[in-house]
Amino acid sequence: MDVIVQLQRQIVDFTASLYREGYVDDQFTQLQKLQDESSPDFVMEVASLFFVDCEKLVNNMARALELQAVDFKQVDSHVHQLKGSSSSVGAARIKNACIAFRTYCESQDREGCLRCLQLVNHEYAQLKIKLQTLFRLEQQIVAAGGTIPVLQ
Amino acid sequence: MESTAQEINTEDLNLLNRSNSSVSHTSSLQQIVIHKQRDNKPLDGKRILVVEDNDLLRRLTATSLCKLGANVERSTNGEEALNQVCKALSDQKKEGDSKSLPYDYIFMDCEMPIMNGYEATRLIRIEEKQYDVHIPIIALTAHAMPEEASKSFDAGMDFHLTKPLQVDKLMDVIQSPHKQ
Repeated sequence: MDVIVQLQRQIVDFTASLYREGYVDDQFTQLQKLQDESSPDFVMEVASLFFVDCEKLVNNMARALELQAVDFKQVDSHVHQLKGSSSSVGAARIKNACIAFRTYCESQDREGCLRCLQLVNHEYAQLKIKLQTLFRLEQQIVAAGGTIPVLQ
Repeated sequence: MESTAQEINTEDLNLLNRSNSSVSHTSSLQQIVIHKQRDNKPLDGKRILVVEDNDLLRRLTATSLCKLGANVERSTNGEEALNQVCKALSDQKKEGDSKSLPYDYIFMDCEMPIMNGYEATRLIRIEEKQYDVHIPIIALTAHAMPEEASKSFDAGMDFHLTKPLQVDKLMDVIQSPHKQ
């Protein structure tokens, strides 16, 4: 019983920090609301899909920016995709990085784009670690026979 | 108000029996049933088409709508949506049911490759004229700029929501006086 209470407290604190530090926004809450008994791993599934999508898009952007003659419209379309995906899962920092990225695409600034790409990559890596931690905590609670606390 | 045949559970019956309303039993029963329906599945029985090129967004929008009780079909761009709507309209006509709507709502993303939402809507409206129907189309855009709103209305869309979909805003639109 003690272990469960401890874990629950950990999850509540950890989740609160994710919001506070801007890793996730309200859209992430909406995702959690879609999770229930009929789809108990919904958030984890969506997160996995997102990370796969993110990696693919980041690779596409990197390749497009390597070319001698960069097609900024092409880069922009990848960023636009990532912005859409990240906003749909509540990945706020990645979304914001994409917003900045697009302005550099518009001004056809290769250096600026490369910096943004680095930022996006960094935020993606960070978020992945954070969410993996969250999911691990959730799995521990369930394994110990407890329930995952719902953050209001 | 049309009455719907619903299965009433014991809980509702007790509620009904306990209520000492001066209103007739039939109307309070209807109220309980409709109230329950609205609570859990406000889109129960509605056929909705989600048009969105981003895989994740399409899946999330569809899941949210399914959770609200809707039957959801999907298209990945404007051209696919147009074809789907045209086919549905012509299939209905063949079955002699040309007056009802093939979809109760279409959720149309505005920025898509191949054919965007504005163009798809324009062409759907042209097609609809042949059947004298009007499917409510809800524009989905990334921002809430007034230019985007007026662009959607000019193209023939009925409502405008921002992505990602928020259930409370969606319900405002669904329950607005425009619909029925």
